[in-house]
Formats: sequence, C-alpha cells, structure tokens
Amino acid sequence: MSVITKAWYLSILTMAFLVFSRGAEAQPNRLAGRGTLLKRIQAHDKNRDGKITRVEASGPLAQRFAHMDANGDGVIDQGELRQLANRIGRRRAGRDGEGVATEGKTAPDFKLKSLDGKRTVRLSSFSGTKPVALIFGSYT
Amino acid sequence: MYRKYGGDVEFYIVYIREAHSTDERQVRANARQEISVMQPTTFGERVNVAQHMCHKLEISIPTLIDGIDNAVGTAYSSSPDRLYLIGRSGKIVYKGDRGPSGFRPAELETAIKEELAN
Repeated sequence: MSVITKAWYLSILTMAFLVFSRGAEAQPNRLAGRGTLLKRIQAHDKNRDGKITRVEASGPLAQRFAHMDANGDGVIDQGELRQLANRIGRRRAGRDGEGVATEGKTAPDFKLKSLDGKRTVRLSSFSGTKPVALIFGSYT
Repeated sequence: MYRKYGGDVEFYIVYIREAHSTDERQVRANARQEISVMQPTTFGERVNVAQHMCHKLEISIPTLIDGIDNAVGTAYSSSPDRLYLIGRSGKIVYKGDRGPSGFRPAELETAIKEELAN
C-alpha cells in the first residue's frame, strides 16, 4: 500500500469514526432536535426583528399560526417562541422517554374506567390468574 | 387475535391522548378520510372521542380510558400506539416498540404463545 493510499484510508476511518461517535453521542439527548425545529421556525423571520408576522409565515407555520400566536396579536414574538419551545420539549420528553414500564419488571399498576363507565379495571387484579394484552392507541 | 386468545388472555385497548388532533399535529392521511378530532381537554370529551372511535372502527375489544392527566399513557410511554403483554406474574413480558413502525401484532402473538406455554 502506497503512503498516499494509506493516508487516504486513515482519513476515511477517522471520518467514519467521527460520524458514528457523534451519532451515538446525540442519541441520549433527543431534545436536541427541538433546537432544529426552532431554527426552522425562526428562519421565517425574514427581516430579523425577532418576531414573525402573519405575512412572513408560510407553509405549515402559516396553517398553525393562530395556535402559536398565543395572545392573538398577529405576531409570534420571542416569548411565544419560548413557550412553544417548552411545549415541544415537554411533549418530546413524554413521548421519547421510555416511561417506567420495562420488560421483566412489574407492570405499573393502574385503575381505569371502561368505555361505558360501568366498570373500573385494575391491572393488578389479573396478576396470578391471566396474562393481559394492552393495546395503547388513539383515533388519530 | 382477540377472538383466538380472548379466553386465555385479557385484552384491553387503552385509549390515550390523540396523536394527531386537528389542533395539534393534524396529518393529511386523517384529513383525507375526514377524521378530525380536537384534543380532548376533559375526561368526558375523551370518552366521547373513544366511543366514536370504537363505533367507527367496529372495535369489540374492551376499551379503557386513560385519565386526562395521561398518567397511564406516560408510564407506559405509549404514544402514539404501543403493544404490551403483562404475564401472569404481573411482570411485563413483552414491550413492543412505539408505533406506528414499532406496532407489530405478530410479535405480541409470539409473546402470548410463549406466555401460555409456560
């Protein structure tokens, strides 16, 4: 192997290492993604005055403008952006966290009402008698 | 699966917070099917949506409603959808990945067979 090929080979290895190790590092902190989303939203601020007006908003942001403009003054300001970031953060934490339910551990107990409201089901009441299959979901 | 194992296994749908309500994260696929649901803010509203869902999708599996505090959904990290099997021991024997891509009924069935064989 010539010196040049060797150097080239080494640099590829280093690059691969950098890419993969950074990927692994990024994994535990999925909240980091909210920064990117915020940046995407901030990109709408064309005149860079720290606020996004209805005219500046386009695409999905325009559709959801009213939702983000909490005080309804027609402008998404810094405070509203911060609120939004916190909301996204909280939501992702709830969604991406693995909860307390873990394979091999005792299932977190619950007592929930049935659809018709006539029955209350306690998960632990089946312990020792029957396995329970839980199907979590919503309509949308 | 419910019909096949319903005698040996308790099946429950746990209705949790809406994943794609019109006021939060509406998706086109739902709009096309004219499914539009606002995120329920009270337990009563949530029951109404769940009843509508069970009716529309002809669901016969017993359905339980998570409280408006989403306590159970959060504990099981269940949004948007997820499958679990709790063994007779009360321990979790199968925790599926989060849906939609991780929602794999075939895996649940394997887990059920193993649990019943024990």
